[in-house]
Amino acid sequence: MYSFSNFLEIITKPDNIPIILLIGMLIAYTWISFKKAFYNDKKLLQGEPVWEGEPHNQEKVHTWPHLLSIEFIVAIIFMLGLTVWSTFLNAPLEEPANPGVTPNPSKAPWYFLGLQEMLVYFDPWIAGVVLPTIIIIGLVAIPYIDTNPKGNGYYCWRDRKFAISVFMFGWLLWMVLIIEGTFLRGPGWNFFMFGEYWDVHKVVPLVNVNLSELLNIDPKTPWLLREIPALILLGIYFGVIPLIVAKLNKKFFDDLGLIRYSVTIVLLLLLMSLPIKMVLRWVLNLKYVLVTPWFNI
Amino acid sequence: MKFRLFVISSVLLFVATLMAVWVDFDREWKKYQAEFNKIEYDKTKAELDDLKKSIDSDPDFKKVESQFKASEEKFNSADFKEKQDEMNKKITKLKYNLYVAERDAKFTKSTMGALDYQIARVASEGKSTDSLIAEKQQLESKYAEQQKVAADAKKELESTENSVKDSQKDYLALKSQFEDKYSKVDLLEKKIQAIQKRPLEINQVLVPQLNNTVDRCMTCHVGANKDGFEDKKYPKVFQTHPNKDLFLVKHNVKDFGCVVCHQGQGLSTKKDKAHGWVEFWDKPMFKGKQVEASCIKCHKTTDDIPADFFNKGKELVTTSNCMACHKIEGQPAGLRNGPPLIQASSKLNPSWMVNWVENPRHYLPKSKMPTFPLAKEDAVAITTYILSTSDSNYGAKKNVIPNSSLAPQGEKVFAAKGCNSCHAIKGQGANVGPDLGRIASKTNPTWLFNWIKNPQSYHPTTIMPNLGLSDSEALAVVSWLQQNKWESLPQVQIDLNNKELADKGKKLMKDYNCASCHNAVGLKAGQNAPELTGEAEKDIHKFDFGYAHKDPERGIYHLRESYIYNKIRTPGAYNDFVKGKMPRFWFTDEQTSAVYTYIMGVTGKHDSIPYNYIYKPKNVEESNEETKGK
Repeated sequence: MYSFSNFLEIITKPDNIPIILLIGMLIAYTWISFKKAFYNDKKLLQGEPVWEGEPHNQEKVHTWPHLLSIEFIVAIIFMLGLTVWSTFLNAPLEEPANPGVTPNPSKAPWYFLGLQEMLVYFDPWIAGVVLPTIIIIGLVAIPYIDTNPKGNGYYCWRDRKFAISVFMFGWLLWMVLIIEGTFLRGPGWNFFMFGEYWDVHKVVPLVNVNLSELLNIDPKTPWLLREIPALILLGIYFGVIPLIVAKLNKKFFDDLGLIRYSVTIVLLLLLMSLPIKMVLRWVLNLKYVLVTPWFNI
Repeated sequence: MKFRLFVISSVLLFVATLMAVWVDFDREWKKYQAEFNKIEYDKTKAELDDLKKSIDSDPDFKKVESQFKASEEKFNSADFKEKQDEMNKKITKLKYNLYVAERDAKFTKSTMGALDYQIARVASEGKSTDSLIAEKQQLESKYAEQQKVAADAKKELESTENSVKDSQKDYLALKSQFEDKYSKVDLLEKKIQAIQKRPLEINQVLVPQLNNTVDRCMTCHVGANKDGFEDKKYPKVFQTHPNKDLFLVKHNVKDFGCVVCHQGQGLSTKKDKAHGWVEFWDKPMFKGKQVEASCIKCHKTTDDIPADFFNKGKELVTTSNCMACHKIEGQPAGLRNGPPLIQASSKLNPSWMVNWVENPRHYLPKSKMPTFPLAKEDAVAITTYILSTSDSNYGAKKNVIPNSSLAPQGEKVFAAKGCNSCHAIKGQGANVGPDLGRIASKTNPTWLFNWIKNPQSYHPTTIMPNLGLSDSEALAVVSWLQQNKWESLPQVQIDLNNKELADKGKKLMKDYNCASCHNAVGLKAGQNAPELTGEAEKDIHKFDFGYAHKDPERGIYHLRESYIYNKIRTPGAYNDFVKGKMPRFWFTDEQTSAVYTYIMGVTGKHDSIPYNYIYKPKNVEESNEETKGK
């Protein structure tokens, strides 16, 4: 079932090539940005000017020719890559489209694979509408939430540990979901390890249960009664945890103020809800925490 | 540094651009077309040379040519030319004279018309018209004179022109005679020029009325629609379409294209992709005679067209009794053509039956019964069910004991009654009924005796005739046949009281649909397998490939065509995931291909041919007459 040729077949598919490039660039850019951040950390500790403040970086040069010439060369190299790529790798066409047949695996474009992966763990309404909207709103809200003046005009890790960690967590989570969706999700959206044969007949036991069932509550109970434990749990998650965090880290709370702190902590908890739900699914086969007649969480 | 990077990347981009242009330019089909043009050029050139040679050796042509050359020389001589020029000048002058004469006459005539008007007007005023009338009479005589001059001028012109023509007549006659003889050479010379000038281009057939067909097959198969490339010495790709008059002229290629019959990817100009045996192409090309599967798309019957291979497949499907399990539109349901099993326990040796059910070919290499995918335990279970439920009391005469001393007489009766014209003995003889060379291990003498006396009493629809043997003759034949034992038959003990095993056997018989060929106790006949109508149009996702998606060694590809072909030839090919029920018929490759052709053809209503393409006989009676004739 496992073989190197299976692995090779999947990674060399023409539509998977961009994801290979993505992995390389992800590693390269993360490495470069942290290298620069750590360099500045060191300089700040020593009380010396940061890289951006070093005398030779303070010099001003004209955009033309200094910047534009570099951009021009980059544009040439980019064109070169595109030309070679489009000459030798054909578009990954498959059989003529048939509205009566859904391809298996049926995958979204690569940039939506994270969303598709979220659909495994959440209600379509939550995974497809609510969470993407919150992601966008959250990104828009960053400048209003993060008022930390440190790091303006230069880039370092020490002064912005929280902001960088949260961003890197969300960013890498998204990338990992895309990579997983590309290489590890096969027919039937089943999970296949690297090198495993993508068997359309693979059967995986996926009997998932709701929280109330885990707690042996009769599913026929009126939903409000049945979901009391879930509501308590969600209340603790979104109500009590922020209080505890504020108590434990008073400085964090004071710096942000009540409103900003509330928004920040709720967005953070929403971000964390995805990996938490994933782990709960793997460990407890948990389908939904809260089941209401209108939506499920 | 920056400059160096700029130079290197620019050079590389330039090279990459050139490469992209070259990859786009360097197409497979161009090589084929260039090769064909060369072949056609060589061929035409050879024809031209031959023709020239034959003309050279033709004495008649030589004579005409020399006469023509002589007369041409005379025609082109300065003397003759001078005369001609003179005459031509004269003609020009005469033409002018004629023109002037005719013009003058016309003028006079119109003046006369004006006078007529004046006369009428003056008369209406009541004045005298005498002077006017006199003037008109004068003009009339002038007009007659002018007309005469014109006629004379015309006559002179005509006579001069005729004399010029006469002087050229001999030359022109010889010229046309020579050109007639030379026209073929001229034609071939023009053809050679055309071939040399011919650009490499995509030759496509567009048929909007037939599902917007666009077929580019003749981009490489350039010779398909050209006469003169029938010979096998030309590469196969360039040969003229076999039976071109029928397939490309009667079925005009401009109205049909290629793909509607051959299938494949008509738009593609790459060999592999165009022929369609690639991943994701739904309808790969038919191979060889299999293309006859397409005839039935438009011809609703193949009795009156030369689709022999298709008809052979149809016959095989009927004789193999495929319709016992599969429904095929327009075909009657299968027959129960196997012997009945309701009295099997009075006939069969249990060990033999286990062996037979496991694989009939152990006992009869030419058995009509196909081989089912059954293990030995399954065969034992089926035997237990049949032998424990069937009637063991068959036959008018009981307890027949063979007498070996009657054997020689039995052999004589066997020969005299012509038994061996249907039955072989150890491979010697005809193959209509089963080989009797090992019959003693199959049946008991009592059954055999009663069977020979009256076969229809056991199997009402058997083709074996009642030969009217007397009791003593029958006993002799039985005694002789009882010597034909199968020594190596593996012995199996059957416990007829094992109800559990019998139930298992019954279930197996239901699953494998035994009752659709054999009448058996407690089992019903019926078609239990997928319908074969429209199999050729069935969605590929609906075929159960199991794990056998790609195995070139066994000819297995993830294609509908590959599945159908392999299922006919070796149904077990797809048994590695879900065990199929279809038995193996042991078709040869050619038989498989014929059956495949038939199955690919019977598309029922699922095909998408426009109504005006459906073949409609002029009238039904006429077509019946034609069929009768054949």
